[in-house]
Amino acid sequence: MQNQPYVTITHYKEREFYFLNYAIQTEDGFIPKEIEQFHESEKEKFIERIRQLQKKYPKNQVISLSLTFNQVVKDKEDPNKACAKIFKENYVVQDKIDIGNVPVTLYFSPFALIYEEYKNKLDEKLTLLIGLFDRKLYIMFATADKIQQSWIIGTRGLSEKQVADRVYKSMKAYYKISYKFADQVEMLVNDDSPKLLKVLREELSMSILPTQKTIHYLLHHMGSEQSHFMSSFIKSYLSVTQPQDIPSVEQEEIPLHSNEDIEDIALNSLDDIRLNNPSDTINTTEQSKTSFLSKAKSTFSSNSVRILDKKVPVSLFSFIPLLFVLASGGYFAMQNSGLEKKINLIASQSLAQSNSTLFSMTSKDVFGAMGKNAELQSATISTDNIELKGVVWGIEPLRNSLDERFPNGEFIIKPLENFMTEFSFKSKV
Amino acid sequence: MLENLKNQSIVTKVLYLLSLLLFILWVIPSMVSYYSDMEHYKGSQQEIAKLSSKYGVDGQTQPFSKELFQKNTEKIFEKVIVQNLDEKRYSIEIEMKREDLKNFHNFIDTLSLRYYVQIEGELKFTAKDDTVNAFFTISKL
Repeated sequence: MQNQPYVTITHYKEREFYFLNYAIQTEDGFIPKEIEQFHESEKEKFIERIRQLQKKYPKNQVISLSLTFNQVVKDKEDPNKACAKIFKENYVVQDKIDIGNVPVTLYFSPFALIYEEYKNKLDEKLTLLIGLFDRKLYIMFATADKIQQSWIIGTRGLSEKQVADRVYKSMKAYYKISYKFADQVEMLVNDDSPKLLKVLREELSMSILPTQKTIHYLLHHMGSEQSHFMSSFIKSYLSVTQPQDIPSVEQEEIPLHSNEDIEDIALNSLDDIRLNNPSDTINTTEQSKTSFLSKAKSTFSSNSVRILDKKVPVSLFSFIPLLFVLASGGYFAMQNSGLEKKINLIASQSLAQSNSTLFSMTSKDVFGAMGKNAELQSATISTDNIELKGVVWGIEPLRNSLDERFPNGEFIIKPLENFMTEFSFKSKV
Repeated sequence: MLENLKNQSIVTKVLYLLSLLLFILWVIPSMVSYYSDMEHYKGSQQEIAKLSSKYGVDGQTQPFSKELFQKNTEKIFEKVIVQNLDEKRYSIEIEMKREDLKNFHNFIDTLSLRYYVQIEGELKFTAKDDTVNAFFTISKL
């Protein structure tokens, strides 16, 4: 067993392909073998290949790289999240480890790789460290004693000029907070990106010395020494001399986190700056222009990169606005209903009062017209017409009096047997 | 705040959106309608109060009660007969002296200011010698 070689098996997924490699670790460095590539539809084959290598080389570490957006460098360890100590008092933190059922024993953050690459170059001057992995820029401001700030910029769908512009604006945003600008810039790339380097140099007006290393190379390096293992999200306390006992992490679940935790992550990145200045947007989506519509869309989109892979619990507080709206709406609806009844009642009262006044006036006119010329025996008064009947002594004065009050009425007289005269009168009011 | 909202679950976002829509489409129109109707109601109330003051009617308009109406009206006229026609309608017969016609006209003028009632149809009078009888129907508002 002692003569068996220690092998580091490295893999990562970029777009729809898994890339697999292994290297024999020796005292003089590691000897990498040929890189194998598997389409995601061949996942089973890919996993089987890892198992084969693990079986063939019992002293092994299976090493992979976390390429999620949800990782940030903090000053404190978070017991509820996946953490890896990368630098004295700095921990890289991500919500959970989601590697599917692919075997992994060491799982590093790009921030850990960048730190490992440049830790010996850091001094009291502020250095901007940029790592380009899977079309994302993992960026850190670091000095010899700590990592000051970290954030991630997506480059997918953006031109080199747009990427460089965002790097510059995010640096400016950090400058607004700390009044510090980077003294030098280091960049770690796994692909050759001369155009990006060129525009970055122009945009930042600084010289950038790129280091080009493949992800496999960096991961083999991370697996080469026990001291690097503390930078892994997966706590591997086992020595490489007992590799057969190293458990594979398969679909490891970390407990769900509260909204405060998520908010904390957001505040620790520079992304909040974009709220103050939309033009300084450090976009995590593919869109290059941030319109109101796209903001609203991203706000209400469940596919936001920030909350990818998270199941944020629905708090009871979420119902408070709805309850408030329902309560206030219900209150006003009830008040309106009550008020409507009162308004209808008072409108009916006004109409009734007008009719009563009309009845009263007509009645006054009828009795007033009789005077001493006639005696009313019966009268029917409505709001439309009147019908009167009685005995008359002064025919013409009564006719004139009625005509004056009710013009165009029908005045009829009828002599009675007792030498008296009866009158009847009909008219519209 | 926008950042906080972004980090909320889709259910929370939907609840917030629903709240916003309800507030804009339901609560605000209800509030506007309420305050507008309230102004209208206050205006109508003032008009009724002015009329009451003009005719010397004290106090608020009362819901109609047969007993109360009869009791109050008998203080003014010689004879008052109130009969139910149905739940809301009553026939009224008032007997009075000719010289009380002025009181009767004043009574009709203020009827809807004292009680929530309206005169339905016709006002009929019969007169004999010195006595006048008035018949009419009222209905509750």
